[in-house]
Amino acid sequence: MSSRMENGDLWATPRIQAADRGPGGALRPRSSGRGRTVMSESGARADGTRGPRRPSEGTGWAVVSYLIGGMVLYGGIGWLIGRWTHIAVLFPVGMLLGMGLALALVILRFTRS
Amino acid sequence: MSDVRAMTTASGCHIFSGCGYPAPSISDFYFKPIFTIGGIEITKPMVLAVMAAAIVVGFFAIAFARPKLVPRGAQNLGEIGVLFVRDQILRPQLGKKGDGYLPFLVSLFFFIWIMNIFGIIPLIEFPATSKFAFPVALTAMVWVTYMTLGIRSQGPIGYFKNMAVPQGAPWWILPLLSPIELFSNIIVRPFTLSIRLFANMLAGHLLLLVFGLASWYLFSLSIGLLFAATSFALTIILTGLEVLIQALQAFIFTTLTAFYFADAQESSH
Repeated sequence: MSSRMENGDLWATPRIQAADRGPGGALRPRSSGRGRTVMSESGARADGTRGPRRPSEGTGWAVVSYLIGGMVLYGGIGWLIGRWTHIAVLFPVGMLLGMGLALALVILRFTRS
Repeated sequence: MSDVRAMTTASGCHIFSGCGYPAPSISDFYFKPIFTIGGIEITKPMVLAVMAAAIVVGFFAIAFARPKLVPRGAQNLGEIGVLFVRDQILRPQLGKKGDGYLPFLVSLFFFIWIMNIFGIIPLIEFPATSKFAFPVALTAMVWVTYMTLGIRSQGPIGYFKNMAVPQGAPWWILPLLSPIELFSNIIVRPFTLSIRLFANMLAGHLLLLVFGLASWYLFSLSIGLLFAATSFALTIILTGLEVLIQALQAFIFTTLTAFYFADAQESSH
């Protein structure tokens, strides 16, 4: 984050605030380390502290890729087992399970500190 | 000019003349070889890709051939381009330490953008990126780079371990979540990256073809004139939309590349 400030990038300030006040900030329990992460995100990363990711264009697409991944993976496993056992309902069940797990993963990765 | 369009304009195929609408189809994306070099048939998209590469290389070579402290002309434009990629794409994702990737990202952004823009340039009118092979080849480069980066910065075991184990997850759910992480990072990411660019360009080109052809097809001295005018207006509007989408897709592709690079290097998850 300091690099952007040095660069004179005026956009940096609102972005930091957005990272603090975004949905992630609202969902996240106010636990230790949060303030420091907000103050200097790159610093927090450099010393190995696991801070929350800042929301960016990439984050949105990463979420999409998790949702697709979970659905395709567990849907595929469900479909295979369903083919094997002749229980057709395992395919949609697998897809739903995958979606649920992908959502859990998104919450774990992007909203908790 | 695509085969369908050539056929339509040549045959004078109009509404109320007993001629059906020659709807554009996926066959518009296949071209007859222009010439053959050593048994390899060179088609229009290949020529366009080479042209795009030549334009990008040529422009930046001219722009920065004799750089001056106070930029003028082409150098000015080149600097705006490079700084745009640096400040809007690279820095937000990778920070200052990622400046080493600037040449790659700049080339990627402008190469894709030029290939996309070919879709609305008169007489060219074909976005090379709507041929799936081009996004796939670009994505393969990105994929190999971010996998290498990840393995280099975290070690082969550490990289896959960090990828597979999301922080803060209870241990009993890991066997269920880790496969999604691995699947999503290794397979879904490159897949969506290439599909997104390809599908957007394909759909955009098809849309323009549909309304462009319809403006010609509906043209007749009857109520058809009104239809044709509407279709023509839509062609203009959609061309404007395409300009936006072409730039946006190049931007998204490059932004995600930068994001994947950053993601591979940090072990914060």
